[in-house]
Amino acid sequence: MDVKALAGLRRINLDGLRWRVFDAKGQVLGRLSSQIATVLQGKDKPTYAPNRDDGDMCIILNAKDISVTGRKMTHKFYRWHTGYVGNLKERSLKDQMEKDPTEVIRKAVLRMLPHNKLRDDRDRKLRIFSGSEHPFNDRLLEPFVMPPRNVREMRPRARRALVREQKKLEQGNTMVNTQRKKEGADASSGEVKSTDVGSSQV
Amino acid sequence: MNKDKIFKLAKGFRGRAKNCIRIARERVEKALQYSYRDRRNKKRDMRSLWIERINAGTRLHGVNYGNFMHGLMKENIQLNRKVLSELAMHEPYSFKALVNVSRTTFPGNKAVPKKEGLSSIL
Repeated sequence: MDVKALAGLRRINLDGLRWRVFDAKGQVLGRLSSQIATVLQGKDKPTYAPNRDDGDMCIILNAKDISVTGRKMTHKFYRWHTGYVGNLKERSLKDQMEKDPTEVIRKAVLRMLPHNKLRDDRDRKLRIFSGSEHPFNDRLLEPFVMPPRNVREMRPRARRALVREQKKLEQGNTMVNTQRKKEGADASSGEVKSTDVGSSQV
Repeated sequence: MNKDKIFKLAKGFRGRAKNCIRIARERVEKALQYSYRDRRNKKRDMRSLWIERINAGTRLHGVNYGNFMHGLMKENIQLNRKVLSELAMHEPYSFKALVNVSRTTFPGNKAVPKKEGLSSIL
């Protein structure tokens, strides 16, 4: 794991590059990947030139905490054909995350980079880690601040479902609390309080 | 007479295109067509490269390209994109001054007000 992270570092020359750190915890997969692709190409520098690769080194942490909206966790499939007739294989996002969560982000970013001869070099500058440990702690690291995002309002039906779930959680909590209070009262004073738990409506 | 000229133009071509007249003639004709077309394309490509560079430079200061150019047009600053991209690359402080001028004239990029997400229901 450590060896793979440091592999190919010698091939990347020009250490006028910055080391940007992206925290993928709680970020949406595609939106994060598009920011990473912009940084990796070097398009946020005014000295951008399309014929040479001048992107920064990108380190991505907490790849296993990446989130996707909708039903993509179970319904998004990665498909590939092995070359043999009838062998179209597929794997869902959930299985891929269990198998190797870094591949999810790597595929997303690679498919957003321009498909030219510089793509492999840019891939070499991308280092992804599932957790928050990485072997580059002695370098000069810069955290990347994601641009502000306006989250769309929830659709009415989804919103009502969320409200229902919140209410259920709160009810569950209050039931647990009253039961605990009851037991505490019994233990301390020895009196039996008959509270009708089922009728407490919040 | 033409053969020598063609071989002279065919220097650096791949394979038989630099040695054999029949192939070289085709390739040289194509090369001349490409160079005619690309003399016009170069102007477009360079302009889009300048715009990309200006975009990158202004986004470092929180303004995007469209709002920046709109502010400059309002102020009647007639610097062209070539000069602006050179400033963005080599004269960062002057470029920042220009960005500030544009931002005072046309403050397009405001911090996006957070629309009501989940926190409003809870």
